Amino acid sequence: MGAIIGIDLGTSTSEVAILRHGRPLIIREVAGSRQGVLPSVVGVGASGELRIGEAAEALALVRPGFSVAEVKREMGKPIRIPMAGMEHSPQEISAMILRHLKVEAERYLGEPVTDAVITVPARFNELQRRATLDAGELAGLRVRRLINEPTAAAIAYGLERPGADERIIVYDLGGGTLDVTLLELSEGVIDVLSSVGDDRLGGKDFDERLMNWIASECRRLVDVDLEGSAALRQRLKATAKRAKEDLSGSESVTISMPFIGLAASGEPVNLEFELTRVTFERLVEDLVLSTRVLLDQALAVKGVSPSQVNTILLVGGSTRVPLVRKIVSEFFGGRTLRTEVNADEAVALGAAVVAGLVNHEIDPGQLVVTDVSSWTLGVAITEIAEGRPPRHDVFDPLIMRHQTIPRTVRKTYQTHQDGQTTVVVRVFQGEGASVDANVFVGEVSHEAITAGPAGQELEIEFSYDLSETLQVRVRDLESGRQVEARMHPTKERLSPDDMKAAQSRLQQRWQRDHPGET
Amino acid sequence: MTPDLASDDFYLRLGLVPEATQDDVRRAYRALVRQYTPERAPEEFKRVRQAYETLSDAATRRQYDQRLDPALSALFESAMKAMKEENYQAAVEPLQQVLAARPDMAIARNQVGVCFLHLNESERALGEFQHLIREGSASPGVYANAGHAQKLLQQFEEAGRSFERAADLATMQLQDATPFVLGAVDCLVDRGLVAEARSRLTEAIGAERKVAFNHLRYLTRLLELCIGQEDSTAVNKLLAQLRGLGSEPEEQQYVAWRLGQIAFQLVRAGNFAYGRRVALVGAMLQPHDADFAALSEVALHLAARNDEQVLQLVTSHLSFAPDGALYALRTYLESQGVRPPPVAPPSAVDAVRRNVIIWGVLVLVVSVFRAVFDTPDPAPYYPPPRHATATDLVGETLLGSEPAARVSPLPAVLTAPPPLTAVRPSNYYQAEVVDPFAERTPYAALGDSIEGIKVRIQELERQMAIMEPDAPAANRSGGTSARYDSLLNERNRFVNRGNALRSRRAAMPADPPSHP
Repeated sequence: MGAIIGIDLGTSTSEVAILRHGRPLIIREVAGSRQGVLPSVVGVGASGELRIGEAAEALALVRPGFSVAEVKREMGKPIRIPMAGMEHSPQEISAMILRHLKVEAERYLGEPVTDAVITVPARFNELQRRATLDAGELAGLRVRRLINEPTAAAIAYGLERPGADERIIVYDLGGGTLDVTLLELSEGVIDVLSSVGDDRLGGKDFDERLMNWIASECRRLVDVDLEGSAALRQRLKATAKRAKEDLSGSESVTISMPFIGLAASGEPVNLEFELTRVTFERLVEDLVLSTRVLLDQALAVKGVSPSQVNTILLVGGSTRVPLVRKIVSEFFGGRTLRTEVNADEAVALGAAVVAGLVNHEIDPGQLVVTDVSSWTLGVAITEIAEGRPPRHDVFDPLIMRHQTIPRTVRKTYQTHQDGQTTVVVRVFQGEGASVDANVFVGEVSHEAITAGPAGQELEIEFSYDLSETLQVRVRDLESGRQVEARMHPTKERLSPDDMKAAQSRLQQRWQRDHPGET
Repeated sequence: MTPDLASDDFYLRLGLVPEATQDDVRRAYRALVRQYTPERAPEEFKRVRQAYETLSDAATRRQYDQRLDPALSALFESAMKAMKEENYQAAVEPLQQVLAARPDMAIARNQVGVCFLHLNESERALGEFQHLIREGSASPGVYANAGHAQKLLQQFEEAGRSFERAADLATMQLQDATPFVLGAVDCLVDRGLVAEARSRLTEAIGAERKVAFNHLRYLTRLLELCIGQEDSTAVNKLLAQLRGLGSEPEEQQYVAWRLGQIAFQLVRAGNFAYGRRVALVGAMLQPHDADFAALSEVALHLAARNDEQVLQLVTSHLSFAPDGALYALRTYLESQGVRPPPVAPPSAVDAVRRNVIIWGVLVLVVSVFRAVFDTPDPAPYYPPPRHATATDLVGETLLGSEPAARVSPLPAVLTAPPPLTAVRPSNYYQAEVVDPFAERTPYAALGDSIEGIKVRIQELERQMAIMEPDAPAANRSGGTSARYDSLLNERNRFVNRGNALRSRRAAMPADPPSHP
């Protein structure tokens, strides 16, 4: 069997890693990447050729509408993204990145690659996970496992420390998401204890704050509206991003944007001013402070106090911002934070290690990893209590968030009506008290329940496995008759027809690139 | 020790002794997950995890350590099964065996007490509940159960205190105190202190102008008391409040259904004037449901002794919304050959017929109350399901024919299990609220205690009279015998209660007249 590649499919950047002699390794020789760090940008060049990474990033500045960035934020949504005269689903755009990484890995390895482990934010829900699986399939990859990004980072860390016995917090602040995960590493066994996250907070939000500020300064200093045109906005975005990155290393930077307009005299207008780190930190301080709530939550789930945490791992490009490091460090009583794991690479390295666990290349004596369910799974019930009408569509959880998977849970329910012979068990995922607030996952109906007075007992069994497939079994306790179903989200997953259409659109793009290849 | 993955004992499963330290537990777990990784052996992994999760947490481990051994657990399960089948006699023995081995097992003691309650051994029941209270392991439900026992022993004042204690505890534990407050209110009614009962309910509802839907049970109880005292002003005010209570259509439907129930009880008790008023409010809340209006008409015609119109209404409204009561009445009348009403001189025949009609209704309704009265987990009230008519639901079961199997087109008709059948890992237990008498008897409900008890006794004796020819005392078959005995027990209970009330009444000033 060929190697399984590990892919970190990030909001801003993506990386691919493989396992070599039991150790993970980032493939640095990826076209369009900076030392293996590939901007997650897809674009179409002047002659219709597909561009991935830095080549596509450059397109954004000169040909708006011909490139797509940050597609990860759209995963799982039923939307179409326009690019160079065609419309693509988020899955297809992601597939282009995955395919590029696959091809580059094959070139590096000199052999075909068919299987992959892909990382996803711990916060991703079932739909977002399915969309990622679809993207893998479209890219011609068999996705052997989706692994949560903070877990992957901790695995990369844990593999290096076989004898360690410690509690670890992974603070993963990426381009678009924050995940905080508490793990226990004990002699090569990694247990995830809890995982919380916010999928609307990341480096992009820092950029946005900075963009708004630069735009307002620009209006004040030279009276030019930087948000007036798409091209200017792209330049503003690039400027803000670079300034943010530069401020991680120095106390102040010069914001310089030449030729942003023409003065009445015909002279070009240039924008140039100093931006200090202090100013930047003031702009984003509330965002960073708000992440302490998540740290609190992650610890509270297991009743752990900050002083009981031995190691703090910072992962994700945005943790390079000094203010983030300062505030996280303060939360843990001013302790030093671990950064030996490369913030950009740890996740991909961990994915490669998981690939090694999947194909048994890594001995369980060396490393065993357990993971937790990121979302609560349950069924819709009618709740009956004296003194009020029955409440319909109440969400009754079976597998709770933060519980270790794989897992099997059984729970007994009752029928509601005399003579009832049918139940439809509707399965939902989410944290809402009512099913309306949660994501519908699927349903299974049992149509041969022993007729009798209301209160016939039914047992519902949920089996949730590592590939996050849910097996639901409904058993009539009286007769023992049971029905079962595997759950796949029915909505918003690509149907076989959609899949075929997506395939052909992608073939169109790819054939222009690599004529002769199928 | 070698881990035995197949074992149901979590210690054996991890290869540990019960004295193992937390470090031992972790070490054993680490060794086992290396052997049974989630990738290679998911099923074994799940079993290892289950044991580890329980034993690695101090609280869950303590709980697990208190589990029953398999033999006792089987005994306990058999007792629970017997109780579910309402065979309380059979449940006592195994529960007492469990208690002999584990005197600290609160739930077993509570269940024994509940069995005694059902077996009319109130003294012993009270003993068990008081034992739990003395040990400090009493939940609100245990206090309430003690209250029920004291009530049956005619210790109404003590019972009232128990219910109040239960209500306080429940409030402190952020549980619903409603059933306990209502229990305390009933004790006041039993002592003839209707005015106090009313002010207790008013206090529970609170001073706010706007009453909330979750006060429905207080309001309906207050309504019953006010009707019992014929306090017309208060009744009008309450009916207006009830009419404006529900904000959602489902809540309004529920309120109407509750009012229909009360109206029906009033009609059956011969209080046609109030029955009509209450039914009319139901009709206002559910203008599209002609049955509420029909019920109020029935009340009117019964009051005027227009039996033909009653029968006509009853025939044209086969499925009166709450419980299909009119349908039941019609079917019963038909089976008794009462229709059509014979033309005869009014006086004598009318008296007979009135008797017959009321008697017919009584039997039917009593069987409903019997069923509820005996169930440890009282069936909650809920409106008839949307896709089955009330006729289907009650008509058949009431009259003893087998309910036909029906395919329900309803989606997801699941209900959360009652505490007893909730998912409980077989060896776990928790104290639970068992409230065998949550359902009030109809006449206590009307606040007209001595009169109510009289009618109730008469009605029980009538039922016993019907059974007698079929079941001569010498060789009664099992089911009939149990039913006859329970009727007899209940009758005797009411006789005692009536006597107690009467003697107390004699010593007390009468209730203040509601119309000065």
